Amino acid sequence: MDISRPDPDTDPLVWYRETVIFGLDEWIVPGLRQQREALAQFLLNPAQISRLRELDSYVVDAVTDPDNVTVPEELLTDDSAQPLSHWWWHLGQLRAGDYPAELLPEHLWKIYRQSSAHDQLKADTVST
Amino acid sequence: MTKALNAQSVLAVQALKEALAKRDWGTRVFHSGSMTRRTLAEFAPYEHIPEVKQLVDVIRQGKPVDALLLKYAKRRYVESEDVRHPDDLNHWFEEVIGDGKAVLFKPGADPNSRYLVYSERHQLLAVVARDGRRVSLYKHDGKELGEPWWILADLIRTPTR
Repeated sequence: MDISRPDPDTDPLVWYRETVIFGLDEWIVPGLRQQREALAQFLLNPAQISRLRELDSYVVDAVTDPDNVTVPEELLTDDSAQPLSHWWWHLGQLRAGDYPAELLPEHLWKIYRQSSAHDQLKADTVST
Repeated sequence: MTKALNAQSVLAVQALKEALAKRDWGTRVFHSGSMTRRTLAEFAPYEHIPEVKQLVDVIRQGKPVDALLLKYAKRRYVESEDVRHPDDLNHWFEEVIGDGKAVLFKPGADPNSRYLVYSERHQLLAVVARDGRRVSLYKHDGKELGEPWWILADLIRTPTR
């Protein structure tokens, strides 16, 4: 395993990527939102942007999946002081389906809408 | 930091000792859902590799997957890291737990919350279950880990109250 001290200057995704790929499975994701915020301030190249989109998709898919019943409460505690467009501070709203979908990038919007539609379908099934 | 081991600290010591002694990463069962989708998507480009195909087949069948093999395959194939054997992960896990300067963070009140041990030297975070099972190991910047509780060397040296 390459454990040479990671260099976030040459690999700015490293912390967020590690947390998403190796922490999300077990919902051990300390600092995930802060790591994502740091990337919002970074000038990324096209390959990094593509990878970031993929990682973001994993996060939104996991958080909005109604079958994931073990999403930690602290991850769903939103920070209202942060801009709504920085969706990673508003995972609670995303989970609840209260987040304004139009603020999400298209690739996340699709996941969010699918999840909301799934919730709605469930609610309709229960009520009928 | 606390100067003597209370009951909570003793449990932490026991869990860390178990983690070192047992090398148990447990198993995972994948049900349909986002985690399964994600894992299969990650492995999709590597399914032509027998080692990966075997894992993917087990995931699809909903059978228990060796968690160590899963993490190893992610590192080796998905992340293209220089890891040649699952035991490499054991080695680095033990480097973290064996780092006297590593910090153990205070676990949450939830009895199922895990122990986080961070080695600044390696910039690695080791996650240990209350029963000593190895949960995860990954690179971390060391921020937002919670309240530092013990330096490992102090924890091991300190007598029980």
